[in-house]
Amino acid sequence: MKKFAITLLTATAIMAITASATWAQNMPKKIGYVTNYATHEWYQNVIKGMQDRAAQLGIEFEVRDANLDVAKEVAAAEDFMSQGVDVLIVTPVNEEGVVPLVRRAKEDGIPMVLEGNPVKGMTTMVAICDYDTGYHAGVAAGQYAKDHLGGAAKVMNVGLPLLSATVLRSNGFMDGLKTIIPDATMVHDLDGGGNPDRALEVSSAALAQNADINIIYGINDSSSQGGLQAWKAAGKSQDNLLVVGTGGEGLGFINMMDNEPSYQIEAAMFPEKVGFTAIDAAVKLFNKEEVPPHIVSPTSPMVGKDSWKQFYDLADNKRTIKWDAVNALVPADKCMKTAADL
Amino acid sequence: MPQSLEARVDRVAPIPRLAAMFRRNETVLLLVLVALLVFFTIGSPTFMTTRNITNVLGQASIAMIAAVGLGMLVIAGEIDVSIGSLVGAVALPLVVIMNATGSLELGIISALVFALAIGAVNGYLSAYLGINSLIVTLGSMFVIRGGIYIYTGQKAIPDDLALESFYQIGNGRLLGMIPYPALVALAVFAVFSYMMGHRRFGRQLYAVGGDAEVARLAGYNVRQSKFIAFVLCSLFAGVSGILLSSRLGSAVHVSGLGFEFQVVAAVVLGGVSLAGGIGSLGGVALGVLILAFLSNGLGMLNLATEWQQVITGLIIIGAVGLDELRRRRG
Repeated sequence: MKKFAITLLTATAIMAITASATWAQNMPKKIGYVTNYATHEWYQNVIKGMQDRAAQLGIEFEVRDANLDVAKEVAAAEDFMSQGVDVLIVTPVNEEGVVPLVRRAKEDGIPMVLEGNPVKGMTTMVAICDYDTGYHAGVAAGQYAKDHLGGAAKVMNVGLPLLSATVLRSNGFMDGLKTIIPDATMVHDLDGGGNPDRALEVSSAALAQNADINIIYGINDSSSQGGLQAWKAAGKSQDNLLVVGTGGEGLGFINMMDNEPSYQIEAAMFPEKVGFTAIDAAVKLFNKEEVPPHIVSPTSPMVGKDSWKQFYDLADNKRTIKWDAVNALVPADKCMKTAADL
Repeated sequence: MPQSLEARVDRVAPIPRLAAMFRRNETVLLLVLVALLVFFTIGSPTFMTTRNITNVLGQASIAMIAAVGLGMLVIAGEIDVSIGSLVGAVALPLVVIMNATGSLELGIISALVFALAIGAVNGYLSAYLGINSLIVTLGSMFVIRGGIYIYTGQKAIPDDLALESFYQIGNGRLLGMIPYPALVALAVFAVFSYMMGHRRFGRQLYAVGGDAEVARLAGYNVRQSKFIAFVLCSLFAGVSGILLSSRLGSAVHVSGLGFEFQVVAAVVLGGVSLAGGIGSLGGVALGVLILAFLSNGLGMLNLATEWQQVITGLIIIGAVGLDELRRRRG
């Protein structure tokens, strides 16, 4: 009996060692990430998600910042390749400008994951679905308007028509809203430039022309913030107003949800989860597993003042993602609409 | 027994020669470059590899070619801050003509003609009409960049035909090792370094930049010299733009943004006086290499980008400050 127990223990130990060795072999040693703009809160949180996931998996992880310079991005990726990283992750400064880089990485046998935007010749990309994000926020906004705003929906869209991604968000929002309130209208369709100053400026001008709206939709947090500031600057009450932000990029939306009574919905895009998913995609590519061309990172509308607390903790002016809650979100297999549908 | 004057001079001569060597700006820059290479080799096991060194040389070539042109212009007492916009702009005729005709050669010729035209306009306004070159080229910078945005609608224009020859000029390697852009940079540097050091062309630019009135009295055509320097500066920026466009596989509307600062920094670091008349293309080349290896090495040490910027800025200020002190002490 004793001999049998020893044999069993030894066999178990050998199997455990073998299994862990196999696991270690299947992990890339080093992943390099070239971000397009590390100064932005969104990318800081994407990087945070990558760092967390890489640490969990025991992978060495390094970041270089292109600082919106496409030539610098290519150089940084080349540096990573000459350093011998096992997998490269790139957020393109410009999708056309990294096409030769994708080819070079393939020639060198280095798997590459694109983040955010597709590139010709790529193997896979990790990104959210912009239309779906807007759509689900629109459905939530419709429900809120039905319950709290007397069923009326007159929208000021603080958009960004230059980018297909942000146009998809706005279109999705209106389509989702109309599933609950079919006669919802877009009173103002603005180009807020994606920044709070421009958003404030164009929103103020629009409200001076016609202030008969009850929903402000922003394609990112800066846009919704600028729209709301214009509303307040016009001396209007927030009693019958709903503000919907998009992104959940940093601390801004948490402050708004905590302090502004009308800021009730955030279409959260969880940048940390995008980073987390990108590392998982990198591991799959390293192991030569089949991956879809677009790996969807989940998004979800947060509805109500304290809804952000379901996904984030806040301490010392720093937010920490609750991985269990975010990882429980089920991403779509594919996007409802993409830029090709515009 | 008292020694003869000649004997004493012979004995002490090696020390002043050594001192004289260290007074040369290029020697100091070379030592800085070697020190950086040693430091990064110790700091990162993947730094001193053939792959990495040739990579950096390929990356530095784009700035090197433009810096040769700008270096000559600054020596001639002028400046051109529109080269970044021009680097982005030449990609438009290059890619558009190439897509329309399927000919890389026609695309390159169009891009170079465009660059020459911009250089001629800048040169005419500055050299012949006497408008300050900083103002003229600052204006050109905005006009060209705005023109790029208007023409492209702020979208990149891809190389639709995916010509292999276009890919190769910026991404290919001789014998699979030396990047083609590095060979172009070497050729440009060698020819114009010789011209600046040994031909009337170079003496003319130094004279014009040092003191235009004296140069005129010495029989040099000041306006023509400056005009030629402007045209060459734009031409080389055009060559840089063609190679960069190949590396990006397209005409990217935002390419070349801030490139002028990178090149001006290399030129100044290389010991070229912004007042004109002083400096060498050897120093300029070392300035480009120092900045390129600094960026690569600090990245390999995994230093955050913001710290890389701080350190690069401090090294430029420190090197130029030391050079200034060295000059004052004669």
